[in-house]
Amino acid sequence: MTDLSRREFLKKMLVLIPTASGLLSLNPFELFAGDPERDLIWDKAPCRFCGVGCSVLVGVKDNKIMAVKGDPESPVNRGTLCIKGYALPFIMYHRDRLTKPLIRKKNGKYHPQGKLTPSTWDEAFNLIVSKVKEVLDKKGPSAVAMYGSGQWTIWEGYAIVKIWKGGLRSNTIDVNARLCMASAVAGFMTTFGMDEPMGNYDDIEHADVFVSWGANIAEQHPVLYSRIIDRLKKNSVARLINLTTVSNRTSEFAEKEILFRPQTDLAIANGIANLIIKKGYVNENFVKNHVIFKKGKFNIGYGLEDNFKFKDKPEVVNFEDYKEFVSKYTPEYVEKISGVSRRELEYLVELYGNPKYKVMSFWTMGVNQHTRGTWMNNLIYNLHLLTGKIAEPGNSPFSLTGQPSACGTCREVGTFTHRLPADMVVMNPEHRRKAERIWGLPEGTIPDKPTYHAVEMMRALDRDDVLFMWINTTNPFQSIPNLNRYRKGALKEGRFIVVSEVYPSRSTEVADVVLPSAMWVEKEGAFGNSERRTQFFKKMIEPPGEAKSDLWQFLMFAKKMGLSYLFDYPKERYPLPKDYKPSDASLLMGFYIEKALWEEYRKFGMGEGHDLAEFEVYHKTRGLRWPVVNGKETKIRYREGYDPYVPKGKKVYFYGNKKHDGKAVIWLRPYEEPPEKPDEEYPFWLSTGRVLEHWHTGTMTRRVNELYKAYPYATAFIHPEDAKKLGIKSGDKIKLVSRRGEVEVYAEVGGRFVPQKGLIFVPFFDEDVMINELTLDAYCPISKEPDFKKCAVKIVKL
Amino acid sequence: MRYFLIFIILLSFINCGKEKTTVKEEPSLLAKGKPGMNTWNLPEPGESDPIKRPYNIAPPLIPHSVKDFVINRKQNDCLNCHLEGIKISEGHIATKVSEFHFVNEYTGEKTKETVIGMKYNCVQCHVPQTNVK
Repeated sequence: MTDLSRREFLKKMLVLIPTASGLLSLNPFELFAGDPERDLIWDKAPCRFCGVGCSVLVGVKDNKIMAVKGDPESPVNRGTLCIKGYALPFIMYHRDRLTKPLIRKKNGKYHPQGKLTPSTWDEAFNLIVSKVKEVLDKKGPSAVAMYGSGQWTIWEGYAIVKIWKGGLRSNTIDVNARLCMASAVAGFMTTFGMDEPMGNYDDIEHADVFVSWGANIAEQHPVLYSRIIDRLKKNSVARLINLTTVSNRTSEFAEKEILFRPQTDLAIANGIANLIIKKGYVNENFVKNHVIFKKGKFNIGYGLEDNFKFKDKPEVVNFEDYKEFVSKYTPEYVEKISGVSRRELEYLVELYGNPKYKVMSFWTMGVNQHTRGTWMNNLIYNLHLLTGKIAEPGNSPFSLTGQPSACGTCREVGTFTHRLPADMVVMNPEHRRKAERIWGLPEGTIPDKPTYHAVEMMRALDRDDVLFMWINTTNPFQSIPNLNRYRKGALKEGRFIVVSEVYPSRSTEVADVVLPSAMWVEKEGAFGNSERRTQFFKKMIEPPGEAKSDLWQFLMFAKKMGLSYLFDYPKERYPLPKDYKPSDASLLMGFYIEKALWEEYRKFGMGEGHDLAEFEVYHKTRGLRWPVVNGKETKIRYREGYDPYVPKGKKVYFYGNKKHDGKAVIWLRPYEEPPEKPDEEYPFWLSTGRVLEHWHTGTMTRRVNELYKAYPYATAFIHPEDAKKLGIKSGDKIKLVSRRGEVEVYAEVGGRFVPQKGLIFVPFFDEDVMINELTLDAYCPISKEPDFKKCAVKIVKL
Repeated sequence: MRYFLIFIILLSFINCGKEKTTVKEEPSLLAKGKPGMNTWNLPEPGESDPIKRPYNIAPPLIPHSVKDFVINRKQNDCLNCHLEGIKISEGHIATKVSEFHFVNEYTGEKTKETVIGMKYNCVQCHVPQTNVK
């Protein structure tokens, strides 16, 4: 066999086998060296990766990305990037990129036990459509599922919500953002009546105190960390505090690292509130005019049983009730539960309470991926509401978003089982009617009951309440907790799974049909980042082979299902762009579909505080922070003078809570134990997370040489004393075991993570260390977001 | 050819039950499917040559060990050598930090004595490379 034919053969085989390591002997970046920048055509795009939403300048030559640099005109990253941003020129060029639709076949025909075989788009869609119709007949619309992503572009999310809820009449659509931001959303909705932060990144340049609650900002939001560092260097009084369960890189620039036992952030936040009250730090005026107090149910469960249901019962209480409630969180009690000393607690109280400090609180997965995630979000807001440190420059409780468009797509468009665009819900008949009117559909089209959120969708697939699932731009069969149950469920007879992907993954492994998707600037797109900034990008290069954008896939699916009427926009209003490449979706439709979808989508938010600007504006600017009213973006919401929605004279008005006269809610939320704690048999906590170099399940980043070599494998981080007791040293192979599964992994003692004693930390990017086989699928009963940070494991030496 | 035959033989053992084939059970042609350990046996600063950059303006990769290097508010061990571009040993000069690090193009800020705040955390963009193949 000659070298060339062997490579061709391997290429075909590789399509069947998801591999990342070892595939990097072909060095794609050797092709790029030596090309001077000036020959390149440069254009802007938001980064493909995290929720910071840096803007990058992409340099293209002859239909290939040759270089990338930080966009100097971006107010977000100001010419800086992180290592993943700099790796963007390579993410689409690995040799096992999916370029053809694949169908599992035996003897040339679809067979569930067949081998993934290259096929045509027509064949793939005909099979998909026949299966959807079969399931619709057999079980109805709720059995047809779409599991999507916070990495979808805004119009991809919008189109699919319209197809699923307006066309198929199914609410069985949910997204991976359920696994990262649902608790933040529920926190916003219960405290403020509206989603997304009131502040913005510019608060960094005004704050004196940065408190990170369980968020490794240094690695997960690196460019924001660099803005914090800049602030620390310019203002000697400014300081960062890292409140964490694992000692990590974010502690490098912290004045104090405060370790706490898992779950006890609930007690710490209440403990701070208690001392704020006791020490007279309450901003009485603010509380009187802008706050009401509510109490919900306690002992709300953990979502461990199939079909678990929870409905809260809020009741309005008063300030005295609240004072009494938090009074039990004395420093002694807090220390006993959390391990945080009185001195550390009082230190935090002084910073939160003393009016001279402007405080910015940051959090992401530590707070959100939590069986009381919604409560924890409420509790952090409580601190800012008691002190009035909110909705002004520098005073900013800032919920950081993980994915590039969990805000812009999932949350704003409403790609969840219970949602519609602009914070609306299917349960509300007025909301349904408004959507039906905008979509030109008869009253009663949109189903009124949510069906399955992410975890329940997987359970439904296991049980056979869901028989068709289309997974798009995400990799749940590596990232879902309690993975063994759900992988087995997906493989059961009668389940039909479609996966739209760019590379072979742990999810394409279980698929019946694999569709090759276009990536990032191979299509025209829009993302919305953590600070409400919507950013657009143009199509800059062609996708390889027969890969097509997810929007194209959705429109083709709609066409084949007889749902074309949903996208019957007047062609004359939306001519194809002339100065730049139209997307494959626009070419399919014969008009500028992204613009048509955007102009329709805008109608939902206008006048509702979710106003977005006209389409062209975003291609011209480095994005705008909504609400955009009369062409002007809103930097700070709810504050008079900054936010056009605040009525004159009201100073601060949380207009999502009009029924409470614009007051925000301080919730009485207690400390409650997690469902599974370390015990005799499983004596360690297991926490999971990410590292700087890798994105999520590593399908893109582990295929970039420099990122792969910077951090090839996931390891299990153990505290040195625990390691010593067990006789384990760095480089020893061990087995981690939980009640649900086990995994072999190498131990690492020291390095960038040093967990607290009794806790093991394992990142989840490595498809050969499937740590989610061990995690527990317990979730916050309010948000339904699973807790990836707490379960019990034991270590077995090998 | 050998790999091809092994692969074909193994394929024939695919589970033919009610469940779909999962390729998880098939051994990889490229000998992975196993966890690994990150090995950092890198030369000391001054004992290695610069690594070829992925593209002209990509941040240079770190060719030497950075074990126990500290970057915090008070110190930056990288800049000890790279700020001025000092000579470490015969034939080995620490690459001087480029002009890019002394300018914030958005705000217009320029610095001389040290790099600007947003480019101070070197490990955000610069990473070493393990010895993995």
